[in-house]
Amino acid sequence: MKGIRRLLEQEDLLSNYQPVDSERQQEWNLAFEMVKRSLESEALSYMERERTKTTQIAELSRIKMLG
Amino acid sequence: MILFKAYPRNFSAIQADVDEYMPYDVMQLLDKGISNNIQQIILEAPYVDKDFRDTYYNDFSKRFTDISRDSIRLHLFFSPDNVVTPNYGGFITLRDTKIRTIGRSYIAPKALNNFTSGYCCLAKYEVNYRGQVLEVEAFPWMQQDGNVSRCAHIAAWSINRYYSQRYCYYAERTLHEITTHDSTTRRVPSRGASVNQIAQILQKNRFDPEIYIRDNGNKEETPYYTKECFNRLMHTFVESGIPFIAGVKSKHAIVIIGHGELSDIDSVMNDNDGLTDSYEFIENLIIVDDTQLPYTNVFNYEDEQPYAYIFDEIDVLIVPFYEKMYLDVDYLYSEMLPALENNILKIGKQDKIIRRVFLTSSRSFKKYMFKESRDSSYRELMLLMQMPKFIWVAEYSSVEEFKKQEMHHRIILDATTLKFQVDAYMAIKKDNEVAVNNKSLKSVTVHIDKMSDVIYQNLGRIK
Repeated sequence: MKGIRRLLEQEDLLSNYQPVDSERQQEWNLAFEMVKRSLESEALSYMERERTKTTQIAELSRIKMLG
Repeated sequence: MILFKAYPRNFSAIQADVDEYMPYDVMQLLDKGISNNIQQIILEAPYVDKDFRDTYYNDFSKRFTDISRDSIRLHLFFSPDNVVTPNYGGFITLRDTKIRTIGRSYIAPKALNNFTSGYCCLAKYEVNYRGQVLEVEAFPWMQQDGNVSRCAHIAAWSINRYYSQRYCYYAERTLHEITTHDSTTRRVPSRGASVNQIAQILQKNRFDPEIYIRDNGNKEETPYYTKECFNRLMHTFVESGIPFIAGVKSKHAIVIIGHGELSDIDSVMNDNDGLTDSYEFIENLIIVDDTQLPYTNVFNYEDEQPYAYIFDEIDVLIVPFYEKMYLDVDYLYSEMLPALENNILKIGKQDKIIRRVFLTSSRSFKKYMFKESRDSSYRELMLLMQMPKFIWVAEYSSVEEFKKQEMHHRIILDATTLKFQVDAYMAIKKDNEVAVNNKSLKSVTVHIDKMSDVIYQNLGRIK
Protein backbone atom coordinates (compact mmCIF):
# COMPACT_ATOMS: atom_id res chain seq x y z
CA MET A 1 0.00 0.00 0.00
CA LYS A 2 2.82 2.37 0.94
CA GLY A 3 4.54 1.52 -2.34
CA ILE A 4 1.45 2.35 -4.39
CA ARG A 5 0.93 5.60 -2.49
CA ARG A 6 4.56 6.61 -3.02
CA LEU A 7 4.29 5.78 -6.70
CA LEU A 8 1.14 7.90 -7.07
CA GLU A 9 2.82 10.82 -5.31
CA GLN A 10 5.94 10.52 -7.45
CA GLU A 11 3.92 10.53 -10.65
CA ASP A 12 1.99 13.61 -9.45
CA LEU A 13 -1.20 12.89 -11.37
CA LEU A 14 -2.47 16.42 -10.79
CA SER A 15 0.54 18.05 -12.39
CA ASN A 16 -1.49 18.94 -15.49
CA TYR A 17 -3.95 20.88 -13.37
CA GLN A 18 -3.49 24.39 -12.15
CA PRO A 19 -4.23 24.63 -8.42
CA VAL A 20 -6.32 27.56 -7.22
CA ASP A 21 -4.28 30.29 -5.52
CA SER A 22 -3.57 30.02 -1.82
CA GLU A 23 -6.22 32.59 -0.89
CA ARG A 24 -8.88 30.68 -2.79
CA GLN A 25 -7.69 27.37 -1.31
CA GLN A 26 -8.00 28.96 2.11
CA GLU A 27 -11.63 29.84 1.33
CA TRP A 28 -12.32 26.23 0.31
CA ASN A 29 -10.64 24.90 3.46
CA LEU A 30 -12.67 27.25 5.63
CA ALA A 31 -15.88 26.20 3.88
CA PHE A 32 -15.08 22.54 4.49
CA GLU A 33 -14.43 23.30 8.14
CA MET A 34 -17.89 24.91 8.33
CA VAL A 35 -19.44 21.81 6.71
CA LYS A 36 -17.69 19.60 9.24
CA ARG A 37 -18.92 21.66 12.19
CA SER A 38 -22.45 21.78 10.83
CA LEU A 39 -22.60 18.00 10.36
CA GLU A 40 -21.06 17.29 13.76
CA SER A 41 -23.49 19.58 15.56
CA GLU A 42 -26.52 17.95 13.89
CA ALA A 43 -25.39 14.32 14.27
CA LEU A 44 -26.87 13.70 17.72
CA SER A 45 -30.31 15.11 16.99
CA TYR A 46 -30.40 13.23 13.66
CA MET A 47 -29.55 9.97 15.44
CA GLU A 48 -32.39 10.54 17.87
CA ARG A 49 -34.91 11.21 15.08
CA GLU A 50 -33.65 8.24 13.13
CA ARG A 51 -34.01 5.91 16.12
CA THR A 52 -37.66 6.89 16.65
CA LYS A 53 -38.48 6.54 12.97
CA THR A 54 -36.75 3.17 12.62
CA THR A 55 -38.70 1.74 15.56
CA GLN A 56 -42.01 2.89 14.13
CA ILE A 57 -41.20 1.69 10.60
CA ALA A 58 -40.25 -1.73 11.97
CA GLU A 59 -43.66 -1.92 13.64
CA LEU A 60 -45.60 -0.63 10.60
CA SER A 61 -43.82 -2.86 8.11
CA ARG A 62 -44.87 -5.88 10.17
CA ILE A 63 -48.59 -5.00 10.05
CA LYS A 64 -49.00 -3.41 6.61
CA MET A 65 -50.12 -6.09 4.12
CA LEU A 66 -49.81 -5.70 0.36
CA GLY A 67 -51.62 -8.16 -1.86
CA MET B 1 -44.65 -31.48 -31.97
CA ILE B 2 -45.01 -27.76 -31.45
CA LEU B 3 -47.66 -25.75 -33.23
CA PHE B 4 -46.81 -22.27 -34.58
CA LYS B 5 -49.97 -20.62 -35.88
CA ALA B 6 -50.15 -17.06 -37.22
CA TYR B 7 -53.06 -14.70 -36.57
CA PRO B 8 -53.71 -11.12 -37.55
CA ARG B 9 -54.18 -8.85 -34.50
CA ASN B 10 -57.50 -10.46 -33.59
CA PHE B 11 -57.75 -11.69 -30.00
CA SER B 12 -61.28 -13.08 -30.50
CA ALA B 13 -59.90 -15.47 -33.11
CA ILE B 14 -57.09 -16.51 -30.76
CA GLN B 15 -59.53 -16.94 -27.88
CA ALA B 16 -61.71 -19.21 -30.00
CA ASP B 17 -58.71 -21.51 -30.40
CA VAL B 18 -57.16 -21.38 -26.93
CA ASP B 19 -60.39 -21.42 -24.94
CA GLU B 20 -59.76 -21.51 -21.16
CA TYR B 21 -56.24 -20.16 -21.55
CA MET B 22 -57.75 -16.80 -22.46
CA PRO B 23 -60.85 -15.96 -20.39
CA TYR B 24 -62.99 -13.09 -21.63
CA ASP B 25 -61.47 -10.46 -19.32
CA VAL B 26 -57.95 -11.44 -20.41
CA MET B 27 -59.02 -11.23 -24.05
CA GLN B 28 -60.43 -7.75 -23.43
CA LEU B 29 -57.29 -6.63 -21.60
CA LEU B 30 -55.06 -7.74 -24.48
CA ASP B 31 -57.38 -6.40 -27.16
CA LYS B 32 -57.44 -2.99 -25.53
CA GLY B 33 -53.79 -2.86 -24.49
CA ILE B 34 -51.72 -4.48 -27.23
CA SER B 35 -50.71 -1.85 -29.76
CA ASN B 36 -52.68 -1.56 -32.96
CA ASN B 37 -49.27 -1.50 -34.65
CA ILE B 38 -48.90 -5.19 -33.86
CA GLN B 39 -50.02 -6.78 -37.11
CA GLN B 40 -49.21 -10.40 -36.54
CA ILE B 41 -49.42 -12.67 -33.51
CA ILE B 42 -47.89 -16.12 -33.68
CA LEU B 43 -49.17 -18.70 -31.23
CA GLU B 44 -46.69 -21.30 -29.95
CA ALA B 45 -48.18 -24.34 -28.21
CA PRO B 46 -47.38 -26.19 -26.08
CA TYR B 47 -44.81 -23.96 -24.42
CA VAL B 48 -42.95 -24.84 -21.21
CA ASP B 49 -42.86 -21.70 -19.11
CA LYS B 50 -40.24 -22.11 -16.37
CA ASP B 51 -42.16 -20.04 -13.84
CA PHE B 52 -45.51 -21.73 -14.32
CA ARG B 53 -44.02 -25.22 -14.51
CA ASP B 54 -42.39 -24.70 -11.11
CA THR B 55 -45.61 -23.36 -9.57
CA TYR B 56 -47.53 -26.22 -11.21
CA TYR B 57 -45.42 -28.98 -9.64
CA ASN B 58 -45.41 -27.29 -6.24
CA ASP B 59 -49.09 -26.40 -6.09
CA PHE B 60 -51.44 -26.70 -9.09
CA SER B 61 -50.65 -30.39 -9.66
CA LYS B 62 -52.02 -31.11 -6.19
CA ARG B 63 -55.49 -29.84 -7.06
CA PHE B 64 -58.42 -32.10 -8.01
CA THR B 65 -59.36 -29.81 -10.92
CA ASP B 66 -57.69 -30.63 -14.25
CA ILE B 67 -54.95 -28.07 -14.76
CA SER B 68 -52.50 -28.40 -17.61
CA ARG B 69 -48.82 -28.05 -16.92
CA ASP B 70 -48.30 -26.63 -20.42
CA SER B 71 -48.50 -22.98 -21.36
CA ILE B 72 -49.14 -21.16 -24.62
CA ARG B 73 -46.91 -18.39 -25.90
CA LEU B 74 -48.02 -15.50 -28.12
CA HIS B 75 -45.25 -13.77 -30.09
CA LEU B 76 -45.99 -10.18 -31.16
CA PHE B 77 -44.73 -8.85 -34.48
CA PHE B 78 -45.10 -5.32 -35.86
CA SER B 79 -45.35 -6.50 -39.47
CA PRO B 80 -46.34 -9.93 -40.77
CA ASP B 81 -43.96 -12.64 -41.90
CA ASN B 82 -40.83 -10.80 -40.82
CA VAL B 83 -39.11 -12.70 -38.01
CA VAL B 84 -36.29 -10.33 -37.06
CA THR B 85 -35.50 -8.53 -33.80
CA PRO B 86 -36.44 -4.97 -34.87
CA ASN B 87 -39.87 -6.28 -35.86
CA TYR B 88 -40.38 -8.20 -32.62
CA GLY B 89 -42.57 -6.76 -29.86
CA GLY B 90 -41.95 -9.50 -27.28
CA PHE B 91 -44.14 -12.30 -26.00
CA ILE B 92 -46.98 -13.14 -23.64
CA THR B 93 -47.49 -16.56 -22.06
CA LEU B 94 -50.90 -17.93 -21.17
CA ARG B 95 -51.20 -20.59 -18.46
CA ASP B 96 -54.05 -22.78 -17.30
CA THR B 97 -54.81 -21.01 -14.04
CA LYS B 98 -58.50 -20.54 -14.95
CA ILE B 99 -58.44 -16.87 -13.97
CA ARG B 100 -55.74 -14.20 -14.56
CA THR B 101 -54.07 -16.49 -17.02
CA ILE B 102 -51.32 -14.22 -18.30
CA GLY B 103 -48.00 -15.65 -17.15
CA ARG B 104 -44.41 -14.52 -17.64
CA SER B 105 -44.39 -11.85 -20.34
CA TYR B 106 -41.65 -9.68 -21.79
CA ILE B 107 -43.36 -6.98 -23.84
CA ALA B 108 -41.57 -4.05 -25.49
CA PRO B 109 -43.13 -0.70 -24.48
CA LYS B 110 -43.87 0.22 -28.08
CA ALA B 111 -45.98 -2.96 -28.43
CA LEU B 112 -48.55 -1.40 -26.10
CA ASN B 113 -51.18 1.24 -26.79
CA ASN B 114 -50.86 3.05 -23.47
CA PHE B 115 -47.12 3.80 -23.67
CA THR B 116 -46.16 7.14 -25.16
CA SER B 117 -42.56 7.92 -24.21
CA GLY B 118 -40.38 8.27 -21.16
CA TYR B 119 -37.30 7.14 -19.33
CA CYS B 120 -37.24 3.69 -17.79
CA CYS B 121 -35.29 0.62 -16.73
CA LEU B 122 -35.50 -2.25 -19.20
CA ALA B 123 -33.47 -5.43 -19.58
CA LYS B 124 -32.63 -7.25 -22.78
CA TYR B 125 -34.03 -10.79 -23.11
CA GLU B 126 -33.23 -13.39 -25.72
CA VAL B 127 -36.17 -15.35 -27.05
CA ASN B 128 -35.84 -18.61 -28.94
CA TYR B 129 -38.40 -18.59 -31.75
CA ARG B 130 -38.23 -21.80 -33.80
CA GLY B 131 -34.49 -21.93 -33.24
CA GLN B 132 -33.99 -18.29 -34.14
CA VAL B 133 -32.79 -15.94 -31.41
CA LEU B 134 -34.83 -12.73 -31.17
CA GLU B 135 -34.25 -9.98 -28.61
CA VAL B 136 -36.70 -7.84 -26.70
CA GLU B 137 -36.05 -5.02 -24.24
CA ALA B 138 -38.69 -5.20 -21.56
CA PHE B 139 -39.50 -5.20 -17.87
CA PRO B 140 -40.75 -8.62 -16.68
CA TRP B 141 -44.48 -8.73 -16.01
CA MET B 142 -47.28 -11.20 -15.33
CA GLN B 143 -50.71 -11.34 -13.70
CA GLN B 144 -51.12 -12.73 -10.20
CA ASP B 145 -52.82 -16.13 -10.21
CA GLY B 146 -54.63 -15.24 -6.98
CA ASN B 147 -53.93 -18.61 -5.33
CA VAL B 148 -50.20 -18.96 -4.98
CA SER B 149 -49.12 -15.45 -5.87
CA ARG B 150 -50.53 -12.01 -5.15
CA CYS B 151 -49.42 -8.58 -6.30
CA ALA B 152 -46.65 -8.42 -3.71
CA HIS B 153 -45.08 -11.62 -5.05
CA ILE B 154 -45.38 -10.52 -8.66
CA ALA B 155 -43.71 -7.21 -7.79
CA ALA B 156 -40.82 -9.00 -6.02
CA TRP B 157 -40.55 -11.53 -8.85
CA SER B 158 -40.35 -8.85 -11.54
CA ILE B 159 -37.68 -6.93 -9.59
CA ASN B 160 -35.66 -10.12 -9.17
CA ARG B 161 -36.06 -11.14 -12.81
CA TYR B 162 -34.99 -7.68 -14.00
CA TYR B 163 -31.84 -7.65 -11.85
CA SER B 164 -30.90 -11.29 -12.51
CA GLN B 165 -31.07 -10.58 -16.22
CA ARG B 166 -28.94 -7.43 -16.01
CA TYR B 167 -26.42 -8.42 -13.32
CA CYS B 168 -25.01 -11.92 -12.83
CA TYR B 169 -24.57 -11.09 -9.11
CA TYR B 170 -28.29 -11.87 -8.64
CA ALA B 171 -29.58 -15.41 -9.14
CA GLU B 172 -32.75 -15.96 -11.13
CA ARG B 173 -35.69 -17.14 -9.01
CA THR B 174 -38.94 -18.67 -10.24
CA LEU B 175 -42.23 -17.25 -9.03
CA HIS B 176 -42.69 -20.28 -6.78
CA GLU B 177 -39.34 -19.62 -5.09
CA ILE B 178 -40.39 -16.02 -4.49
CA THR B 179 -43.68 -17.09 -2.89
CA THR B 180 -42.05 -19.43 -0.38
CA HIS B 181 -41.13 -16.68 2.07
CA ASP B 182 -41.21 -17.01 5.84
CA SER B 183 -44.74 -17.02 7.20
CA THR B 184 -46.25 -18.00 10.53
CA THR B 185 -49.50 -18.97 8.80
CA ARG B 186 -50.13 -21.01 5.64
CA ARG B 187 -48.92 -19.44 2.44
CA VAL B 188 -51.57 -20.92 0.10
CA PRO B 189 -54.18 -19.64 -0.62
CA SER B 190 -52.08 -16.53 -0.53
CA ARG B 191 -53.36 -13.37 1.11
CA GLY B 192 -50.38 -11.32 0.04
CA ALA B 193 -47.30 -10.38 1.99
CA SER B 194 -46.50 -7.85 4.67
CA VAL B 195 -44.05 -5.08 3.90
CA ASN B 196 -41.61 -6.94 6.14
CA GLN B 197 -42.04 -10.20 4.22
CA ILE B 198 -41.49 -8.45 0.89
CA ALA B 199 -38.27 -6.96 2.22
CA GLN B 200 -37.24 -10.43 3.43
CA ILE B 201 -37.84 -11.88 -0.04
CA LEU B 202 -35.50 -9.26 -1.47
CA GLN B 203 -32.94 -9.76 1.27
CA LYS B 204 -32.80 -13.50 0.62
CA ASN B 205 -31.99 -12.71 -2.98
CA ARG B 206 -28.86 -10.66 -2.25
CA PHE B 207 -30.51 -7.23 -2.08
CA ASP B 208 -30.12 -4.92 0.89
CA PRO B 209 -33.64 -3.44 0.97
CA GLU B 210 -34.74 -0.33 2.84
CA ILE B 211 -38.33 0.54 3.73
CA TYR B 212 -39.78 4.05 3.57
CA ILE B 213 -43.27 4.68 4.94
CA ARG B 214 -44.95 8.02 4.42
CA ASP B 215 -46.85 8.27 7.71
CA ASN B 216 -45.94 7.14 11.20
CA GLY B 217 -49.04 5.05 11.84
CA ASN B 218 -50.68 7.74 13.95
CA LYS B 219 -53.09 9.90 11.97
CA GLU B 220 -52.91 12.64 14.58
CA GLU B 221 -49.16 12.99 14.37
CA THR B 222 -47.26 14.72 11.58
CA PRO B 223 -46.27 12.22 8.84
CA TYR B 224 -42.57 11.41 8.49
CA TYR B 225 -42.45 12.78 5.01
CA THR B 226 -44.26 15.76 3.59
CA LYS B 227 -45.90 15.18 0.23
CA GLU B 228 -42.96 16.92 -1.44
CA CYS B 229 -40.28 14.93 0.42
CA PHE B 230 -41.91 11.59 -0.36
CA ASN B 231 -42.31 12.49 -4.05
CA ARG B 232 -38.67 13.55 -4.07
CA LEU B 233 -37.67 10.24 -2.54
CA MET B 234 -39.50 8.26 -5.25
CA HIS B 235 -37.98 10.38 -7.97
CA THR B 236 -34.48 10.01 -6.50
CA PHE B 237 -34.68 6.21 -6.78
CA VAL B 238 -36.14 6.45 -10.28
CA GLU B 239 -33.31 8.78 -11.36
CA SER B 240 -30.88 6.30 -9.80
CA GLY B 241 -32.14 3.59 -12.14
CA ILE B 242 -33.34 1.45 -9.23
CA PRO B 243 -36.75 -0.13 -9.90
CA PHE B 244 -38.53 -0.44 -6.55
CA ILE B 245 -41.75 -1.78 -5.02
CA ALA B 246 -44.37 0.76 -3.97
CA GLY B 247 -47.43 0.18 -1.80
CA VAL B 248 -50.56 1.95 -3.00
CA LYS B 249 -53.06 2.91 -0.27
CA SER B 250 -51.24 0.38 1.96
CA LYS B 251 -52.95 -2.44 0.05
CA HIS B 252 -51.63 -3.02 -3.42
CA ALA B 253 -48.03 -3.52 -4.60
CA ILE B 254 -46.67 -2.14 -7.87
CA VAL B 255 -43.17 -1.61 -9.26
CA ILE B 256 -41.98 1.86 -10.25
CA ILE B 257 -39.51 1.64 -13.14
CA GLY B 258 -39.17 5.11 -14.67
CA HIS B 259 -40.71 8.49 -15.38
CA GLY B 260 -42.46 10.19 -18.28
CA GLU B 261 -41.38 13.25 -20.22
CA LEU B 262 -40.57 16.40 -18.23
CA SER B 263 -43.22 19.11 -17.98
CA ASP B 264 -42.60 22.67 -19.15
CA ILE B 265 -39.58 23.92 -17.19
CA ASP B 266 -40.36 27.64 -17.44
CA SER B 267 -43.87 27.31 -16.09
CA VAL B 268 -42.60 25.40 -13.02
CA MET B 269 -39.65 27.73 -12.44
CA ASN B 270 -41.74 30.92 -12.71
CA ASP B 271 -43.09 30.23 -9.23
CA ASN B 272 -39.85 28.90 -7.71
CA ASP B 273 -36.78 30.61 -6.28
CA GLY B 274 -33.67 29.12 -4.69
CA LEU B 275 -33.31 25.37 -5.11
CA THR B 276 -35.87 23.38 -7.07
CA ASP B 277 -35.59 19.61 -7.10
CA SER B 278 -35.99 18.04 -10.53
CA TYR B 279 -38.88 15.86 -9.32
CA GLU B 280 -41.07 18.95 -9.73
CA PHE B 281 -40.89 18.51 -13.51
CA ILE B 282 -42.17 14.95 -13.33
CA GLU B 283 -45.87 14.53 -14.06
CA ASN B 284 -45.97 10.76 -14.16
CA LEU B 285 -44.00 7.74 -13.06
CA ILE B 286 -43.98 4.60 -15.20
CA ILE B 287 -45.10 1.50 -13.35
CA VAL B 288 -45.52 -2.23 -13.76
CA ASP B 289 -48.76 -3.38 -12.15
CA ASP B 290 -50.06 -6.96 -12.26
CA THR B 291 -53.68 -5.75 -12.65
CA GLN B 292 -52.94 -3.90 -15.90
CA LEU B 293 -50.62 -4.42 -18.83
CA PRO B 294 -47.12 -3.03 -18.05
CA TYR B 295 -45.81 0.54 -18.46
CA THR B 296 -48.90 2.35 -17.15
CA ASN B 297 -48.61 5.53 -15.12
CA VAL B 298 -48.95 7.02 -11.68
CA PHE B 299 -49.76 10.72 -12.02
CA ASN B 300 -49.01 13.63 -9.76
CA TYR B 301 -52.57 14.89 -10.35
CA GLU B 302 -56.01 13.30 -10.69
CA ASP B 303 -56.21 11.80 -14.16
CA GLU B 304 -59.29 10.76 -16.05
CA GLN B 305 -57.77 7.43 -17.01
CA PRO B 306 -59.53 4.61 -15.19
CA TYR B 307 -57.47 2.75 -12.58
CA ALA B 308 -54.72 5.40 -12.73
CA TYR B 309 -53.11 5.98 -9.36
CA ILE B 310 -51.81 9.32 -8.13
CA PHE B 311 -48.55 10.05 -6.28
CA ASP B 312 -50.43 10.79 -3.04
CA GLU B 313 -51.79 7.25 -2.92
CA ILE B 314 -48.31 5.74 -2.69
CA ASP B 315 -47.39 5.40 0.96
CA VAL B 316 -44.80 2.62 1.17
CA LEU B 317 -41.52 2.14 -0.72
CA ILE B 318 -39.40 -1.01 -0.57
CA VAL B 319 -36.14 -0.22 -2.32
CA PRO B 320 -33.80 -3.07 -3.36
CA PHE B 321 -30.44 -1.46 -2.68
CA TYR B 322 -27.17 -3.20 -3.43
CA GLU B 323 -25.27 -4.00 -0.24
CA LYS B 324 -22.71 -1.21 -0.55
CA MET B 325 -25.22 1.64 -0.91
CA TYR B 326 -24.83 2.70 2.71
CA LEU B 327 -25.23 6.48 2.80
CA ASP B 328 -28.84 7.06 3.80
CA VAL B 329 -30.94 9.19 1.48
CA ASP B 330 -32.73 10.92 4.38
CA TYR B 331 -29.40 11.95 5.94
CA LEU B 332 -28.22 13.09 2.54
CA TYR B 333 -31.20 15.39 1.98
CA SER B 334 -31.65 16.65 5.53
CA GLU B 335 -28.04 17.14 6.64
CA MET B 336 -25.29 16.54 4.14
CA LEU B 337 -26.47 18.39 1.05
CA PRO B 338 -27.72 21.48 2.92
CA ALA B 339 -24.35 21.75 4.71
CA LEU B 340 -22.44 21.58 1.43
CA GLU B 341 -24.86 23.86 -0.43
CA ASN B 342 -24.88 26.54 2.26
CA ASN B 343 -21.15 26.59 2.99
CA ILE B 344 -19.54 25.70 -0.32
CA LEU B 345 -21.90 26.24 -3.23
CA LYS B 346 -23.49 29.21 -1.43
CA ILE B 347 -26.79 28.91 -3.25
CA GLY B 348 -28.96 31.85 -2.26
CA LYS B 349 -32.72 32.29 -2.18
CA GLN B 350 -32.47 34.67 -5.12
CA ASP B 351 -30.87 32.00 -7.35
CA LYS B 352 -32.99 29.80 -9.57
CA ILE B 353 -31.16 26.49 -9.43
CA ILE B 354 -32.41 23.03 -10.38
CA ARG B 355 -31.02 20.10 -8.37
CA ARG B 356 -30.89 16.45 -9.48
CA VAL B 357 -29.79 13.86 -6.94
CA PHE B 358 -29.17 10.21 -7.72
CA LEU B 359 -27.17 7.15 -6.83
CA THR B 360 -25.05 5.39 -9.43
CA SER B 361 -22.12 3.05 -9.74
CA SER B 362 -18.75 4.71 -10.26
CA ARG B 363 -18.29 2.32 -13.19
CA SER B 364 -21.38 3.64 -14.99
CA PHE B 365 -20.46 7.21 -14.07
CA LYS B 366 -16.97 6.88 -15.56
CA LYS B 367 -18.31 5.20 -18.69
CA TYR B 368 -20.74 8.08 -19.14
CA MET B 369 -18.05 10.69 -18.48
CA PHE B 370 -15.72 9.05 -20.97
CA LYS B 371 -18.39 9.08 -23.64
CA GLU B 372 -20.35 12.27 -22.98
CA SER B 373 -18.33 14.85 -21.02
CA ARG B 374 -17.44 17.94 -23.05
CA ASP B 375 -14.76 19.21 -20.68
CA SER B 376 -11.63 17.15 -21.29
CA SER B 377 -9.88 18.42 -18.13
CA TYR B 378 -12.83 17.57 -15.87
CA ARG B 379 -13.37 14.26 -17.65
CA GLU B 380 -9.74 13.25 -17.18
CA LEU B 381 -9.84 14.19 -13.50
CA MET B 382 -12.96 12.08 -12.93
CA LEU B 383 -11.54 9.12 -14.83
CA LEU B 384 -8.31 9.21 -12.77
CA MET B 385 -10.09 9.41 -9.44
CA GLN B 386 -10.24 6.26 -7.37
CA MET B 387 -13.93 5.89 -6.49
CA PRO B 388 -15.99 3.49 -4.36
CA LYS B 389 -18.38 1.07 -6.06
CA PHE B 390 -21.33 3.45 -5.56
CA ILE B 391 -21.54 7.22 -5.43
CA TRP B 392 -24.27 9.71 -4.65
CA VAL B 393 -24.27 12.58 -7.12
CA ALA B 394 -26.00 15.96 -6.84
CA GLU B 395 -26.05 18.16 -9.93
CA TYR B 396 -26.99 21.84 -10.04
CA SER B 397 -28.15 23.63 -13.18
CA SER B 398 -29.52 27.03 -14.07
CA VAL B 399 -32.84 26.97 -15.96
CA GLU B 400 -31.13 27.49 -19.30
CA GLU B 401 -28.52 24.85 -18.55
CA PHE B 402 -31.17 22.34 -17.51
CA LYS B 403 -32.99 22.81 -20.81
CA LYS B 404 -29.72 21.97 -22.57
CA GLN B 405 -29.11 19.00 -20.21
CA GLU B 406 -26.12 20.73 -18.62
CA MET B 407 -25.01 21.57 -15.05
CA HIS B 408 -22.37 23.83 -13.48
CA HIS B 409 -21.99 22.39 -9.94
CA ARG B 410 -21.65 18.69 -9.16
CA ILE B 411 -21.12 17.06 -5.76
CA ILE B 412 -19.89 13.47 -5.71
CA LEU B 413 -20.24 11.64 -2.40
CA ASP B 414 -18.97 8.26 -1.27
CA ALA B 415 -22.09 6.06 -0.94
CA THR B 416 -20.06 3.51 1.04
CA THR B 417 -19.10 6.09 3.66
CA LEU B 418 -19.16 5.39 7.39
CA LYS B 419 -22.19 6.67 9.21
CA PHE B 420 -21.81 10.35 10.17
CA GLN B 421 -18.40 10.58 8.55
CA VAL B 422 -18.09 14.30 7.88
CA ASP B 423 -15.78 14.23 4.87
CA ALA B 424 -17.75 11.84 2.64
CA TYR B 425 -17.36 14.11 -0.37
CA MET B 426 -15.09 12.85 -3.15
CA ALA B 427 -15.16 15.72 -5.59
CA ILE B 428 -17.02 19.00 -5.66
CA LYS B 429 -17.20 20.84 -8.94
CA LYS B 430 -18.10 24.48 -8.46
CA ASP B 431 -18.16 26.21 -11.81
CA ASN B 432 -14.59 25.83 -13.14
CA GLU B 433 -13.02 24.67 -9.87
CA VAL B 434 -12.95 21.12 -8.51
CA ALA B 435 -12.10 20.24 -4.92
CA VAL B 436 -10.77 16.71 -4.83
CA ASN B 437 -10.78 14.62 -1.68
CA ASN B 438 -9.36 11.31 -2.74
CA LYS B 439 -7.24 8.82 -0.89
CA SER B 440 -4.84 8.38 -3.81
CA LEU B 441 -4.62 11.99 -4.96
CA LYS B 442 -3.71 14.97 -2.84
CA SER B 443 -6.70 16.82 -1.41
CA VAL B 444 -6.54 20.02 -3.39
CA THR B 445 -8.66 22.37 -5.46
CA VAL B 446 -7.78 22.76 -9.11
CA HIS B 447 -9.02 24.65 -12.13
CA ILE B 448 -10.77 22.92 -15.02
CA ASP B 449 -11.45 24.31 -18.49
CA LYS B 450 -15.20 24.84 -18.57
CA MET B 451 -17.88 26.20 -16.26
CA SER B 452 -20.53 23.64 -17.26
CA ASP B 453 -20.74 20.07 -18.50
CA VAL B 454 -23.43 17.53 -19.43
CA ILE B 455 -25.75 16.08 -16.80
CA TYR B 456 -25.58 12.36 -16.12
CA GLN B 457 -28.35 10.01 -17.27
CA ASN B 458 -29.00 6.68 -15.56
CA LEU B 459 -32.11 5.85 -17.56
CA GLY B 460 -32.60 5.13 -21.22
CA ARG B 461 -35.17 7.19 -23.12
CA ILE B 462 -37.89 5.15 -24.81
CA LYS B 463 -39.82 6.82 -27.62
